[in-house]
Amino acid sequence: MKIRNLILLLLCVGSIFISLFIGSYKVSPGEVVDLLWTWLTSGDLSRFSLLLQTAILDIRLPRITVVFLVGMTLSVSGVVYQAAFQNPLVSDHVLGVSNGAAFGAALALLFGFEMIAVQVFAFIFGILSVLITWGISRTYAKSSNLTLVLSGIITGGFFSALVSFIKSVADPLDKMPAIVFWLMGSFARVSKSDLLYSLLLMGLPLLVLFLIRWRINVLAMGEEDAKALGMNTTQFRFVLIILCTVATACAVSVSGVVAWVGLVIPHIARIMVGPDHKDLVPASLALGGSYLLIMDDLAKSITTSEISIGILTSLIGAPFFAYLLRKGTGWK
Amino acid sequence: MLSIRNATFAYSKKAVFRDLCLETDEGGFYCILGPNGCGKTTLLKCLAGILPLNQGRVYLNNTDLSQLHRNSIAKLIGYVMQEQETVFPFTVQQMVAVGRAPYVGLWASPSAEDMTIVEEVIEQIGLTKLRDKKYIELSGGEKQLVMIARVLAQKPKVLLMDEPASHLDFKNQERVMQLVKKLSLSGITVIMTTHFPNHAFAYADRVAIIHEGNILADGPTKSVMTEENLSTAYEMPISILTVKGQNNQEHNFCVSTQKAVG
Repeated sequence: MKIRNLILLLLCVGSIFISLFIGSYKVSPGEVVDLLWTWLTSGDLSRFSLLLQTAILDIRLPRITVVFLVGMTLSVSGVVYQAAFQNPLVSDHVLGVSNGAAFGAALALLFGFEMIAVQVFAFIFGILSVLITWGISRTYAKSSNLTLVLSGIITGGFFSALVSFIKSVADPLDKMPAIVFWLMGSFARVSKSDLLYSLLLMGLPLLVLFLIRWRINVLAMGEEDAKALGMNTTQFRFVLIILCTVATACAVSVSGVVAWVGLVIPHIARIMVGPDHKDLVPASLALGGSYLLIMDDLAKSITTSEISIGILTSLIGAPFFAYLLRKGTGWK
Repeated sequence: MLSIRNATFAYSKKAVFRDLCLETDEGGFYCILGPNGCGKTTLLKCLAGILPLNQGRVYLNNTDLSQLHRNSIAKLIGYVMQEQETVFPFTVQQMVAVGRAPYVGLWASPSAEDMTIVEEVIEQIGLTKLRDKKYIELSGGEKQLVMIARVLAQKPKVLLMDEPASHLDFKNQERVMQLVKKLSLSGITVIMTTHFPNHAFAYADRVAIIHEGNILADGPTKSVMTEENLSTAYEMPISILTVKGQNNQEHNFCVSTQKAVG
């Protein structure tokens, strides 16, 4: 029990620490520790070179923070959606948020907007697609979890067709590669300016989810059972979906589409600590954050030019998921 | 204790039951009998406050249930569904702990006090050996016991059970029914639906028979469980027999006397 928590903590600290050294600008561990310590204690930074300061404080630290937040968001959203829909095979994109956000970003890139506009578009369309999903599910005679998931498939499918449409009309020399690269997911363009709203739009929902995590167990019992246990299921599920949607839309807007994290990490976390959300949520926060950070380090260092992290998470995530299924995940 | 007055419930336009009334007293054991599809389960869900009535009211000690917060209802009325089907591999202890949900704050998890209650009911029901086993891997009888432990952790005044014995073998049926009877004798009002008229004979103080959305008969077991009522309810000839068991105790049971096919 204690050892398990220690492993998770070491994984977080270790992955963050290692990430500080990985990149095109080579630094020694001693220098970095010295710089960080001086910075944290508000000491005089002038004895460090400007290049070192920029590399660590303006580039790597913000990137590490954002990558970690995105990893936590995708994996915890997966955990929450799986409980809320009583379905171990759904993940962060179940309600169409990724496809909607992808369309928003593609649209902004097609019009040649600035990067900040691309992010805003991605965020708005991510939220919008979930609202559409919600709206469609309300039109069914009997609204249930299944109709919500089906509506998500409908919305997702529609937006992904729109993305294909934009790809086919985009300028093949200039805009098309930008769109394709964005869709594959990357943290290469993350800068200090992404930090504040990432902390706000991902950090806050994650904090709330962390605090109400035990209640998710009740919802995981199923609709009627949760009601009999005194839960207003419609309200609670609505709150969970809003929190996850805001966080995921923000994640996709800064990083593009990073696949498989929301499916693989919850399963690994569940194998490690069991299905009780009191332990499962913290475990998937730790695993999701450090996993994506390690993937980002690999993306930066495998080849001389950076490759898309979405490719890596899929290449590693898909076979690993197959391995997990073979091993048995404890599902009925 | 719990009563339902002039209740009507309909899925879309088709009424499941109309203008139904039922009264219960504290600490009694009630059986609701009736053929498949007669509205037993729906009635139980309405009593639990899970489904809203179209017309009529459910009262608990003269308090209108629809005026209570769902959380307050859950502290008074426990509901054991026919088959709990979570897909997640929760342990028995974790399942039972969820029964404390009505008492745990939104931002909190079960306290040490809650966990003491959880351990107590696990021991009371005799599940100590299964405490750390996965619920979804248990047998039907064991699952039913876990669900009873969970509902006891809820500390309800009224216990609603939807066909608790329907998936169990003969031995486990008796085991579960004996346990439920013990709970009713300890002061919890039990309202149970069942497919098996013989369970009503053996355990119930009062019986209500539902037939086509109406109450066919309602009252003390002896006066309701007649050959005439049962034959009407199940639409076939039924005979009631009596055997003498241990200590010369009389056991009533019923059989269908329909002519065998062929």
